[in-house]
Amino acid sequence: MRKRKLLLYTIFLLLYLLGFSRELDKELIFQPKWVVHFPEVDNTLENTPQEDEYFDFHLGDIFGYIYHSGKIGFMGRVFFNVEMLEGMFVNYSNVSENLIFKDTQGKILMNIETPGYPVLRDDRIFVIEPDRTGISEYDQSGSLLWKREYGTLITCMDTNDEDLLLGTLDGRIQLLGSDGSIRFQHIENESLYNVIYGCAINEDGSSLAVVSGVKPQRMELFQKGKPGYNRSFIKTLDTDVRRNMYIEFSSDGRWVFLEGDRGFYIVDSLRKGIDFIELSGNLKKMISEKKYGIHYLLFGNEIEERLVVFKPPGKILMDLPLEGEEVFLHSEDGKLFLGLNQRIMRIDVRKE
Amino acid sequence: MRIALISTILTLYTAALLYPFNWPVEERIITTTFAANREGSFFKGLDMAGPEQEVHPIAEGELIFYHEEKGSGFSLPSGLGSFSVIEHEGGIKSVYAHLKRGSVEKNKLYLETEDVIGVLGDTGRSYGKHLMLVIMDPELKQIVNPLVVLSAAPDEKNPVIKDVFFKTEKELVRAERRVKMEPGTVTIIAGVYDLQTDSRYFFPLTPYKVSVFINGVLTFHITFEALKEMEEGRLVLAQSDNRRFKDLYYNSEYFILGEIKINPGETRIEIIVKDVADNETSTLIIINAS
Repeated sequence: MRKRKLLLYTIFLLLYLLGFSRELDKELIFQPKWVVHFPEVDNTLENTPQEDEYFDFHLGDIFGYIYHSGKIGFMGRVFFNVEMLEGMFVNYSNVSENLIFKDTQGKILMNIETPGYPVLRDDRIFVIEPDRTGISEYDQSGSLLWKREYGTLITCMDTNDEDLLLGTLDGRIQLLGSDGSIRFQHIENESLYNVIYGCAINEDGSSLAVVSGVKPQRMELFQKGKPGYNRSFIKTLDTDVRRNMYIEFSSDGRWVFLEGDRGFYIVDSLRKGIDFIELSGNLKKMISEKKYGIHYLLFGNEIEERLVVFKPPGKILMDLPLEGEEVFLHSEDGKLFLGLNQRIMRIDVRKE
Repeated sequence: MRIALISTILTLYTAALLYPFNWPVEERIITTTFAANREGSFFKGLDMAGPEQEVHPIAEGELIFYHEEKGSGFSLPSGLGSFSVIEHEGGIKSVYAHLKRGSVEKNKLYLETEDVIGVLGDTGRSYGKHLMLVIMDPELKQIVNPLVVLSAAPDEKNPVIKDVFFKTEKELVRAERRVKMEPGTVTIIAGVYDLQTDSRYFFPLTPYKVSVFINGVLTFHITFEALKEMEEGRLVLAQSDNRRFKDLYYNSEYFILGEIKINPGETRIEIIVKDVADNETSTLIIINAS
């Protein structure tokens, strides 16, 4: 009888361990690997052999590509602004008439004759009119695919492989297909002043997130339905921001991250819950580490900057003061690349 | 739709006559006017060059949007540089672009006409210190010519008709007062511009109205009053047969003033150009076709 009981206990324990156990939260270890100090930048090529793994960076008025080994691929000085994609960049002046696209070694790939400014996202090439009243898309050879003009200003945009989400000064949200046609449009009209301050689309295009309006200011989620998109969540914010606001989906589409004027909102699009991390200053950068499901926030004001590492919904894992006027953040496969002033360091992240 | 358009223009006119908007800067030289050819597109506002000075709203209103050049990592690239947008009564929005970096007022959210939006600067796509003013009517998805709604400025200079050409399938003929041509279809191309009163500066400006009469019959008329957004995503010149940029500009300085059929005999072509102050210039060309 006792043996039978013991056997049952053992089976139950095994079933419990196999079926209901969960991984304990292990400690995240941040281990510095190397630091690269920027040499004098003269827009010339470094004669380093090409390596497979590299990332692009833009730190203050310096930009370029650095290999994961710590070698510099290409480094240049920003004219007015620089847009970078994996494998190509365009460094342009404020009065540019041509956008010259170059590869990671600085070799010319193509030229687009336009006074507009480039936005490179998701392997797509967009050009915004200098007065923000128009947008066009070009293919990888520099041929115009489509163009749209507006009787208002474009205030925000986000993309995935196929879609382009635009927000405007007059409260319009437009989802454009890859041919530039309108696939969905929503016009905000429930605030005293209806302006789109930020917009985001998730990777598969099933959800849209928007922050809009003054008096009140609100965050909304739209889910793809039949037909078009339906509003699935609305939250009145206690913010009163009159500039662009950061809003983005996590890579799995579950979380929406939204900048507030006194911190950071984390919205659970599944459970429709909202959390808030209180921070002082403005959000400067936000990046995600897919491998460990963690996110890095860089907040700052005139006095200090802070690097905050958190895990949704709102668990702060690390809060670190930083010293540096210019900061760069990039994260990839358990590696954090942190740039401060004239140097970039690699920090490996692992669980122990 | 046409009634709504006329009603808005009438409202803007009435507003301009009764309560004209103030000029945003004291010292100014107008360098570019509405709908000018700006690198292959219609220019959407009014460019005013001047020394560094305070910029004021054209009317009281709410600060609904601002952007500081190099200030936020989440904004789209912008040739407007540091800029502010004020929403006025009736939803009309005014945009003040190229403000001096760091000068944009962010804390005062409702601004009276004596308040300061920022300082005239040269941020964004700029070749020197100037202010670009854009006025938008979101209800009609239109961008409005600021000169129509700003208080009238003294202007005694007539617009200029520099030269006129007739373009046939074969050639481009410069039009004198009397021209001999073969009958057929020709396109009228004219270099017309407006001048400001202060003759120290030569900035050829876009006129306000251009009309063409053939043998006394109006065949072509454009008014640089508003740019309208069409359903298909194009900006066209409102009230002017919805002309697109490429339908109106032959090149950077010359307008396409329509196509006409020249019949045997005499054809009288009169071109009349007006500015916002109603100063007028005209030219008469007589074609003898045989």
